[in-house]
Amino acid sequence: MTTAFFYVRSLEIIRTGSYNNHPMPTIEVENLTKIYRVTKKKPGISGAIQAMFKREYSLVNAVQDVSFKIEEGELVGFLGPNGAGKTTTLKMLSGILFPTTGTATVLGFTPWERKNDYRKQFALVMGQKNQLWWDLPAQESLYLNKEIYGVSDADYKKVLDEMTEILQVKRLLGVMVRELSLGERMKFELIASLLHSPRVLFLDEPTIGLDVVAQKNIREFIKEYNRRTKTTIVLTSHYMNDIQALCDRVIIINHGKKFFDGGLNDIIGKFSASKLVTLTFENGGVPKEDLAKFGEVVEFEKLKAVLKVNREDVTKVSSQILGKWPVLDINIEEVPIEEVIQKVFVSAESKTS
Amino acid sequence: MIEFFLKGTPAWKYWVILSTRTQEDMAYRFNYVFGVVFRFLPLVTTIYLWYAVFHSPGYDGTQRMGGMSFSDMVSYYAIMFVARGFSSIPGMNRDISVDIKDGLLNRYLIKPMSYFWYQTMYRLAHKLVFWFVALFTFPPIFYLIRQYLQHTPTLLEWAAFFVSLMIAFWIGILFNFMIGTLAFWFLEISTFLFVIMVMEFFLSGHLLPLNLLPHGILSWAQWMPFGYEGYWPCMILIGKVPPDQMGKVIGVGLLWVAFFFLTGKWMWARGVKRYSAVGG
Repeated sequence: MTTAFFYVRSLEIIRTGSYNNHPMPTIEVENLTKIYRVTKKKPGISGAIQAMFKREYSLVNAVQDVSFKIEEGELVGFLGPNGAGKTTTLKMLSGILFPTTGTATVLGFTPWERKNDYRKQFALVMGQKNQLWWDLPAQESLYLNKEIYGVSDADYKKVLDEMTEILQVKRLLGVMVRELSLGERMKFELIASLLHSPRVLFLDEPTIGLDVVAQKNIREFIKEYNRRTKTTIVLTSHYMNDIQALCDRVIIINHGKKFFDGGLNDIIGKFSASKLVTLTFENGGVPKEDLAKFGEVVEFEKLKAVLKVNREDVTKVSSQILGKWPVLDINIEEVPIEEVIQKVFVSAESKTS
Repeated sequence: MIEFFLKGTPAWKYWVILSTRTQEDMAYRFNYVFGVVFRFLPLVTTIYLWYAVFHSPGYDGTQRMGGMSFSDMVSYYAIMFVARGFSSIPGMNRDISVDIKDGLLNRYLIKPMSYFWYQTMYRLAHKLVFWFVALFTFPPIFYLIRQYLQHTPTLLEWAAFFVSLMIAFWIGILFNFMIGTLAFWFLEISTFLFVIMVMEFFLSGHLLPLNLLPHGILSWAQWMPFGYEGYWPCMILIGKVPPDQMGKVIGVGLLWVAFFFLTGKWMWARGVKRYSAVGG
């Protein structure tokens, strides 16, 4: 009894970090680089024949010189288009891949040494690569994971009860996995990965292929889980909604390079030079040409117009317009973040190529 | 009971893998019953074939082929089903190669467990269900052919037979595991796997007893690991291995088990390193 008590206490201390006087970042990545060698083949049959005798390779820089630090309890989003290097980075942090150069430590471990002590403390959820056994009810796969990770009966029961309650899948525990919907499977997939209460959680496209409602459910669950357990979470997604709903901090990767690391709102400040001014006019309206003097006219109707105005000119322009025309309503907004990021990607592309 | 002995030891999780897989296999129990029963159909044709071979003009019941009478021949093929029931591990090498090729290995690499033992338990579970069904289907078939089972094995032969079945199982597992890991180096090995399957079928003595092969080939083939997947267990039980040879036969088998165990372990370690270095 006493031993169990102290064991739980010490776990608590490790988890909260209050024992540690010089807290180390949970994840520390320095100059991480991964270069793949891929086989090249010239087009057509003659290319195939040539490739049989002489293989040609080319090198792909999947991840280049990426560095960052993530503190305990943070929920960080990895953002980037397909093939940007997000998943490769997560694979290195989970110990599946060795980097070509560079170092990384997670919870004080070097991931690719694949120590059991490390593997018991993190989880990686990859979109739809399932770990559930197809021909058995989900509860069997969950129990199997419990034993693989050596979770105690009491902890297992507690976590399972809680998770199935929150995700509303309790009644599905006894249903064959093959008969579950994609969304339900994803929920069990998450539960299976969280049974051992990992201290670090890597989520690779957790909402891919799900419908809007299921996406929202999963998202809310992740947010709540991070808030409650202080688990460090790194999430990749190319759905802006995921990132917007979940992450305060975003790391943007494109063509294997870190492009941006900071608050979501800073992206707008940094990459978007303008704001949107929506104007509703009283009777009559205003000629388009006159409006165009103040900024780019994005939308124009009879009584309503949207102007894109330089950030620093917004106040000046607004007061000028208000003084000049009878305005019923004025509304100043940031450019939608999706648009900003799209622009960031495009500009990054033209810069690198 | 098993819980009492294993719970809290590193073996416990593998036991749970075994029991989970057994449950999954049970979902296909009818498939099993059919499989186990109809597996014997070829036996009928084999008996007729050898009947025709032996009962050619001039047959008086004393003729031997490679030292085997017609009864020995039938016994050999019947026991072969038992031996192959231990040594054939269907799909193992292919599944491993697919896990490697398609990156499914990732989901095992991140868990605190050994992929080798995971695979072994997974296959063992399959065998257990197979044997459970066989418990009901094999005896009637052996009863039907009882007139051919003329040799009464000695205690030594029974003991050696059971040891040889264990060797058969482990060679099956270890050899297939090793072959599966070749996918770390070669992208597509399905053709190669087919060749291996045919070779196993032939060199294990499943197709015909190895002692009918020309002497040159026999002296080489009987000490190959494949002989332990069928030929040796059969020969032991029909009394064709003299007591003074028994130690050598079993000993070489155990050496093969050790060899594959070490080679497989080495290849796995090298392969995973390569996978982590170049894979995606």
